[in-house]
Amino acid sequence: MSVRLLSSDSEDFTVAKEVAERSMLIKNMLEDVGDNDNPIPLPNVTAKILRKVIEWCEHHLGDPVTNDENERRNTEIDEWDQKFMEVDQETLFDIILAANYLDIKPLLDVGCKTVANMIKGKTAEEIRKIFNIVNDLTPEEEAQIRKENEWAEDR
Amino acid sequence: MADPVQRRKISQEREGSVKRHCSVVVNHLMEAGEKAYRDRNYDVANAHTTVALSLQPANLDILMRRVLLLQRLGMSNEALDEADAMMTLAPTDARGYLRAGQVLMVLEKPVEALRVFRTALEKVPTSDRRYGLLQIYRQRCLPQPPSFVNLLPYEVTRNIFALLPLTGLVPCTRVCRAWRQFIIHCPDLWRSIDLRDSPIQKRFPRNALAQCVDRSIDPNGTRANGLRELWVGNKMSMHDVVDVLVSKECKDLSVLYMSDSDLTGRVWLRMQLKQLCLNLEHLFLSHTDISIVDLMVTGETLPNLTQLVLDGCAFGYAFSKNIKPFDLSGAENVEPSQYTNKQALTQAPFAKLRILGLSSVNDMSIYALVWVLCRCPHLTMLRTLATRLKLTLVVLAMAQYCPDISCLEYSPLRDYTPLPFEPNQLRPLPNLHTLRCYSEHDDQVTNTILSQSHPSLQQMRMILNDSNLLFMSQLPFQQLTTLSILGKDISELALAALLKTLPGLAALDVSFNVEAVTDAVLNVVSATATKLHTLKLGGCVQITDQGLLTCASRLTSTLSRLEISGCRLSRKTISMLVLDLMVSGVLECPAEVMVKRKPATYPDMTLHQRAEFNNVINTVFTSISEDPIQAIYMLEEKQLAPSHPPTAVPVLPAFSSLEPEFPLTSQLQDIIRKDDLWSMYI
Repeated sequence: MSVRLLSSDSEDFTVAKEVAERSMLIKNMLEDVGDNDNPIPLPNVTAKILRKVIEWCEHHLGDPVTNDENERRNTEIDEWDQKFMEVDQETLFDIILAANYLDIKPLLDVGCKTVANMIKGKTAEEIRKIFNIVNDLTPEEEAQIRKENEWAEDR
Repeated sequence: MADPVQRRKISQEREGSVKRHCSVVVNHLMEAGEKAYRDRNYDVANAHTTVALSLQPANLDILMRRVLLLQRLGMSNEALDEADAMMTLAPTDARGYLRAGQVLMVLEKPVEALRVFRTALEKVPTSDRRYGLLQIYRQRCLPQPPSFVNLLPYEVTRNIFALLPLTGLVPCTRVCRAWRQFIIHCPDLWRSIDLRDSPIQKRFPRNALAQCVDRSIDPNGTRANGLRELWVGNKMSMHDVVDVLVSKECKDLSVLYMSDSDLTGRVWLRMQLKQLCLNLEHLFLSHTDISIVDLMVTGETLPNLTQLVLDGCAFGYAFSKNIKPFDLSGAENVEPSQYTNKQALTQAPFAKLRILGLSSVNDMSIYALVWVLCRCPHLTMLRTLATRLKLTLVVLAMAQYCPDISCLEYSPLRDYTPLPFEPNQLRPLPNLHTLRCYSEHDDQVTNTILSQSHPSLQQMRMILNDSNLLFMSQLPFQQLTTLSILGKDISELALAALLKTLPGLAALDVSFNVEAVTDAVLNVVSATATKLHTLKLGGCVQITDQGLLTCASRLTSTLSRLEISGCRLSRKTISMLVLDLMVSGVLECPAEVMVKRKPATYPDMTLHQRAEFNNVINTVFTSISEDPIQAIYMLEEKQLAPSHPPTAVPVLPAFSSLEPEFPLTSQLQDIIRKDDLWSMYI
């Protein structure tokens, strides 16, 4: 049993039904539409990202689904996922957006954790560099905030 | 009184003196204003500047302070007017532009601010010492490329920040305006404050806690609002913590961790009196100065408590003083049958309490325990490690007062002689599924519990001897999945006899049972427990290479964790385990054995297999990280597997790369500090 998915740039993907059903959005759609050979249009996802997402879903096909919020939060990213997420930032955020749109909670978690790990343990200056952010706080404000945060920033 | 002429003369003289001393008066006024500002008395400071300004209406320094003050007072439009006045007054002085632009930036009008700074850079001569500042400011109000905070949906961004610990979140508030606004106005990020594992050595300042609490309050929130979880430990003085909690009225607190702190009964009483504990569900007060009795008699202020941990606290003399029905003298030598009659205590203030920790409570007698237990009738987990109580008494008391118990942890402080015990004294414990019992004296009680509760038991970690093992092998355990045996002179035969009867076992720990664990036992395990995924054999030196390999190859489809540190195994066996039997999983290895591999040994591996292989090897080597060989190994690794270079997330070309960098030099910082002397006081 397979499903056809149509990316925003009109590329046709054929995937196994179980793989596609990792996405709650597609699962619900399939339940509503029933069996039918028309491709499911995914207007928010490009072919490049959809290919990545399908790759992830195929690898994590047999994973048990946990609904425990805490457990999902506290598990570390496994090695395969770490490698999977070694992409440029644009792709990373596109994957997160796609996971959010397609409602694939575990993939969204992995994406969020990857971004959080990029921030963790860094100073404000390092964070700006990583995410290419220009500081738009006035030096006065900055001095003030730095004073507020003194306990956390000076080690 | 002098005539009018003289009066006029005096008056003229005074007027002259006012003019002459004007600058002195103004200085004095500004000093007073500064002091008021430092005390956050902005109205008083404003009054001082107004008077000073009436004396010297064109003094730019005073005008600057006034803009700052008006901004503080939330009168941004008036502040802008004053800044405009500064610009018209001195169009070639940078100060007016700096002020105006700054007000606009704080108002989040970067386009207008940019316009102000552009004009300033044209009009102000480059020789002005604040020219560099103008450049920095102009750069900071250039349009920003959006970061993920602007790109991702609100919930997703919140989830990302929610994954950060407090010490990771705080620097994010200084990254840029958008990040700051998002973080400080997202109460969900501040609901749980955990300071226990923070790498910061300094104490957490009281103001910072107050600020976090403020940020956790959603001004539009209707339901439970504000701080939920506070894990402070010893990072703050409890006096300060309670002060903040009381002044901010944190009534929705559900988790409070104050273990190892300087908490005293008086400070705690304040919390209770202010009704801050009504929604508390989890309370940790281990190793504090609090009296268990004081806490237990105030159950009505803790109606929702489900978990209470009081390890290392004391009952104190209050117990013997207030509680008349129990005679504490000779409590330890009392016959069990003497107190199995239920006491007349019917009230149960801790109706929701499920988990109770009373380890290392040195002055706990059995009566004290009973006194506590009958206040929590629905207890499901009890942990009393390292106390003076005997197992017989604890079990009897529990069966009597808390029949729902599902998890019991017990160990005695020191050796004791068991009490006489009849099996029929013990009421059955139908829900008991976890038993961790480190007592080697009470065979009778242990066996009675086991024979009564074996249908429900799932996890066991116990000190057992041969007779226990043989007794257990007679019982049909139906649900037992995890078993740790801390053997007391156990024999190979008894262990094998027990393991033969446990086909459902998923995790088995027989570490350091040196005499008993042999190849024959492993053989039994691998033949019976087909679902085994964790096997710990630490220090079991009798195991031979062949025995372990046979066992591992039988279990290869399920086994994911194998601990063999301290075993005497050959290098060949380890590499066989790594290569063929444990392709995915964790192997805890003895440090003396090295797996030195060469690229030539597996030329035909696929890329995927190689990656998996690397995982296992990495695990092996991280467990022996001090070893110098690891460094060599890492080098080889890099040459070997170029398919997965450690790609860092590439940094996009900096947005402002077209612009020259305008560094905030120390000279400019000095100017800011002097110009904004006041704004440095927060």
